Amino acid sequence: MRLSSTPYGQRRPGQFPAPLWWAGYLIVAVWAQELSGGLDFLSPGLLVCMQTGQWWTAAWMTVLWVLVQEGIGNLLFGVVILFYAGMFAFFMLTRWLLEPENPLFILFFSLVLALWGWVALNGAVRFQEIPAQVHAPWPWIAKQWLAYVVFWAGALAAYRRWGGHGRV
Amino acid sequence: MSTRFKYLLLFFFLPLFLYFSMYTWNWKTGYLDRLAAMTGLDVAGWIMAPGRWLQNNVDEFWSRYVYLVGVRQENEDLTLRVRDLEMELARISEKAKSADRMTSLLRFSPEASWEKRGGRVIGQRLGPNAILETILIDLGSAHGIHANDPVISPRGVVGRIAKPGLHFSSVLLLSDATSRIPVITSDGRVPAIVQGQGPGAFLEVKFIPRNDPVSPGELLLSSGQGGVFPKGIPVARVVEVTPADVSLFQKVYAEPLLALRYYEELLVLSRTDGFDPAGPVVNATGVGDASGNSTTAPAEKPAENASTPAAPEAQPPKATRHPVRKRS
Repeated sequence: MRLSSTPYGQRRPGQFPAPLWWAGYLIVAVWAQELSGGLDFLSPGLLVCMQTGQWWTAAWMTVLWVLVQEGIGNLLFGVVILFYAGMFAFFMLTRWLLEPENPLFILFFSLVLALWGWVALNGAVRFQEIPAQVHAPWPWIAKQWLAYVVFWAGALAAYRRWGGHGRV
Repeated sequence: MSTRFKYLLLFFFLPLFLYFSMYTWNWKTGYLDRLAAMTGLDVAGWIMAPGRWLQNNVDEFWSRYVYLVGVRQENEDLTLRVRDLEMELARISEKAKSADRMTSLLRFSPEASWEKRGGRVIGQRLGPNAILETILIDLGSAHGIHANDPVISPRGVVGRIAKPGLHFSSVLLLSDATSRIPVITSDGRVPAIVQGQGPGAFLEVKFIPRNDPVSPGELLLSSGQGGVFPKGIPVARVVEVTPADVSLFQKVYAEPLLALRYYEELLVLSRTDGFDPAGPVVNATGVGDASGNSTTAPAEKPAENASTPAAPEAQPPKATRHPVRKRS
């Protein structure tokens, strides 16, 4: 299912260049992370990229997102790489079951991603033997799931309006 | 070799091997952590800083020029307080001069000198990986900040630099469970270790022997042992003392002198003599190890002539038992 009639590779009026649009996304997402008290808001951007088939953009964004999340975090470098590797694998598996444009896809994928995020974070905290309080699993997963769905919906709507690169 | 095995090797075991190789290499060297601190932390800092600057200016404009209720009364109160403090200062400066003369006569080695830099808090918990009690400030390596530099406020210790970036740094608060600070009690000069217990919980004061005097309301000052914090900075106030039953040590709890997460401006102290009390702390697992604050009780009591700084403004709490949240 195509969500837009714009041919690939053409710029519409009012459309931002991709780096500028994603820089704006990064600013909004980092502020959302701060104001939400530590939820992840960067991953929906990657999901939009993967849904629209922009794999090169997703690749450089992954590198930048990894550096940002690891830089502001307190864990040893590597947890975010593991999380994004899992995200990529889950995306491929879920895409095998459902079309990425299907609303059920995002609901199911966001839930899996929130679960995976908690497992990766909790596993890293235990593996690195940090005496820190980890979040209670179910409330955190529910909040993160909601955050993913809402932020993904907002990001996709904004991307269709002002981004619009790739298959949207 | 079957095709399925080749795919398994190529897409599962090889990436796994590469991942663990990178992880172990970084654990030993810390290069990737430093790279993330110099790039990712700075990117987040530059994103947060303009918003915080705007927020601070709006707040300042509101409180200075618009919301002036009670300013006259406050001004009169502060004038009286300044007079009292001037008298107190004159008295204490005489004592300080005599202490300096004594130190010179007894040929004590001079105390380390510290340089102060003011910084603003621009972020709190910025992402899912920020699991420790940390805040982000707008000072970094470019301003001469190093890992483990003490961070204080005019009322007492806030924490220390955990991860210095290029222009921004992450500060580990003293309430975090990985934070340990060597202290002495202000009256009894009893050495101990203050350990954080997480957000909102009281601090645990460890290794106070069962017969040593300590009472609720007493201040805990940094002892200077370990070399991370200068001696004599207020750290916390004792709120509960439970005599030991079978243990060798009393159960003592304290509270920080300030609401750690609500400070907007802080001071970072840096040693000017270049002494490095510990290696760089770039991650949570290194915090406890490389803290430079010993996790064992100091062996000796400090000298009796150690100077005691003036108590902070907060009034001591009543000697009643407070509800203490204790972690099991």
